[in-house]
Amino acid sequence: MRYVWTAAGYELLRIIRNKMSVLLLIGLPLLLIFLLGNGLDTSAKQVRTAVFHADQGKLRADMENYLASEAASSHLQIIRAASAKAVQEQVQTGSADYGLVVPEDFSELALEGGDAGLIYYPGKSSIRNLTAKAVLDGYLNELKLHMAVMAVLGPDVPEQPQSGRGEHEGELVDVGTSNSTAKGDFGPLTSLQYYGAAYLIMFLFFSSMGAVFSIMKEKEQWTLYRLGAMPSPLVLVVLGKMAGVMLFAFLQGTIVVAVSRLVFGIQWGGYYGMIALIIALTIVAAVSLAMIITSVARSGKSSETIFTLLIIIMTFLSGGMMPDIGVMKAMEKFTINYWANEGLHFLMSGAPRNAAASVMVLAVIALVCAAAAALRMRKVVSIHE
Amino acid sequence: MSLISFKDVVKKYDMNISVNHLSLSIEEGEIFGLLGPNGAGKSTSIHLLAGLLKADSGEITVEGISVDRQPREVKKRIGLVPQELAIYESLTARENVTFFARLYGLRGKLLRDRVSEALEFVGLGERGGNKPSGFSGGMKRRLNIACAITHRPKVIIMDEPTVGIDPQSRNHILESVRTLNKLGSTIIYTSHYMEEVEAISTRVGIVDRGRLIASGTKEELGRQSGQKEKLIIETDTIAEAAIREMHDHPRVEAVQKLENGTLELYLQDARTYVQDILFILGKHRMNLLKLQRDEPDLETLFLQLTGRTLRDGK
Repeated sequence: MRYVWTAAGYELLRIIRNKMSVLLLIGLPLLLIFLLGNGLDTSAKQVRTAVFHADQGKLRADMENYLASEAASSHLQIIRAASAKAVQEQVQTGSADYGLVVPEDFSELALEGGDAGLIYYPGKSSIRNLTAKAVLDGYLNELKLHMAVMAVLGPDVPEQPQSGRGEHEGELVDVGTSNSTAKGDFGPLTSLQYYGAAYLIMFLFFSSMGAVFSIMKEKEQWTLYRLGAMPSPLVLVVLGKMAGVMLFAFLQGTIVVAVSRLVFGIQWGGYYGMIALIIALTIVAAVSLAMIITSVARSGKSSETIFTLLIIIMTFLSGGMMPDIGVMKAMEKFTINYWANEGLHFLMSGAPRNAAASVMVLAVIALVCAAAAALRMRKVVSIHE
Repeated sequence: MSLISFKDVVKKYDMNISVNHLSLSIEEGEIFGLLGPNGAGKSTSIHLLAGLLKADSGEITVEGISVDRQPREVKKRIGLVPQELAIYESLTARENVTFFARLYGLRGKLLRDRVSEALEFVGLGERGGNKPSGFSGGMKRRLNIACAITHRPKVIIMDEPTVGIDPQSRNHILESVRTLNKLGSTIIYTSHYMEEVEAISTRVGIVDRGRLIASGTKEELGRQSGQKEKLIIETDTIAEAAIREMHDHPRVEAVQKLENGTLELYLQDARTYVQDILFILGKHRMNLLKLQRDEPDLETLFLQLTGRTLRDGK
């Protein structure tokens, strides 16, 4: 085992010496999480929303109360407009980020159980559009829920949905704050949580692939040749070197989780043992996948390119770049990222039992990949290939 | 018993025979120069000895221990200095040497002492804290050697250790080789620089097409090759017909026309047959400017034995 530790220790030293790569592998995921996640959070509080409220019915006051509530006003800055056309113009000219028209028959339709809807005018920023839509959909969801209850229980239920008030205030559309349970594009998560998980996993892949590609580089630079002529078993030294890279990847994951928790306030759910397990399994799966690809690729360079593309594709399909990827969403379960992300999402939502199922799938994937990689390792490590 | 022994060793790559029934013995305390053009099987032979490859048949032993059956035991006795710079640029010189020394099993005070000793030995004692990226080619070559000697190996294999370095570093390395030999290591030295091998080797083996075609001291090789000598001829003009005629002479082994217009002839007993050569020159109206006779050197011997020059493998 001492050969393994020696090789692992020096490999870790070599990685840490490469300051640029450390900066990229730790700094970049944090930056992306901050920009995408926190950017959405910030804009949620600043979406200038032009509103024309044409409804004079029973729900007018309720809607106004909702718009004035903390849940809405913390994300929307309401700008009153004289007409629907004016709303549209304000959005077009950029004096508003988003537009809302409450139709004249909104109360009537809603109270009759009809399909009452709000008219939205999205602006140029997709992130702000998402935020405003999430906030306003929150009102509709609550209203529909209330109407459904009233239909079942009868008129004893308070007529108005009491949106934005009472003990549940802020729960439905608390976009961008750590304890959100909003049913928006990020499910029950905040954007920070969502992107925190996605980019943690993506960058674990990037750092883990170094475990295999550093061996290829050692082959090119003849150090592997020298190591092969030493009495220490080459396979142990190579495993040690891979362990060094994996240790760095684990360290990277820990730092990303810790910094994002302490600096950005991301709630990881508190199940740190399970989070560590997901990180470790992702690393094993990533290293194994890189080994398999390298063993069939023509050169180290081509395998690096293939693996990089694969990381990007898997991140995209698992929704790591944008939550809604349309019809391609059906493919997400075929990615390693999906199971790792899902496990983290459940932990963030305080559902460790559900997370365990995802972790089990991830463990099986990691195990299968590791077994296949072990069979292909000889080809990758062989000095005379 | 020889320290190193190759017995009827064969190594094939697909259908190509790289080492063809090679038999060779190297005694303890020797500096054995291994010569051969590119593709002669020299590197494969070294790889087989260092346990990096497995022979298809035959046996290689070091101190009677089989490389095939006990590779780890053999590897403990060998220090390999690869032709390429097998060092880590991101580690300091001391860290490089320490890393490889640890993999040779050294620990604690012994490790620290041996690392310092190796760095001092190659003249990098004061540069131990520096990274090789700031070193000259020669310094990197020396570090390459330091990484292979911390465990005081019985056998040191040096594969082209002076490629692409300045004369000062080359001299330093050659002197290091001699010192290591005096300290008790047997050296196997391969180089394209014939004069280096000639200067430091106690014995030379010439490998060609996977076979050992000759081995011995320079004198022994000279005898084996039939004492072929070299005539260096400078004339005012060179007639191709004259060169062809020289080629056809039964005692002339080879004629080489150098870039500066000089002719080099390899022949047996040059004293007796120089008259024939002068006759050919006269016949083709080539006026003699210079005539010189050289005793066979390794370059000459190599050409005579292989029909090829060492550097270009032709």
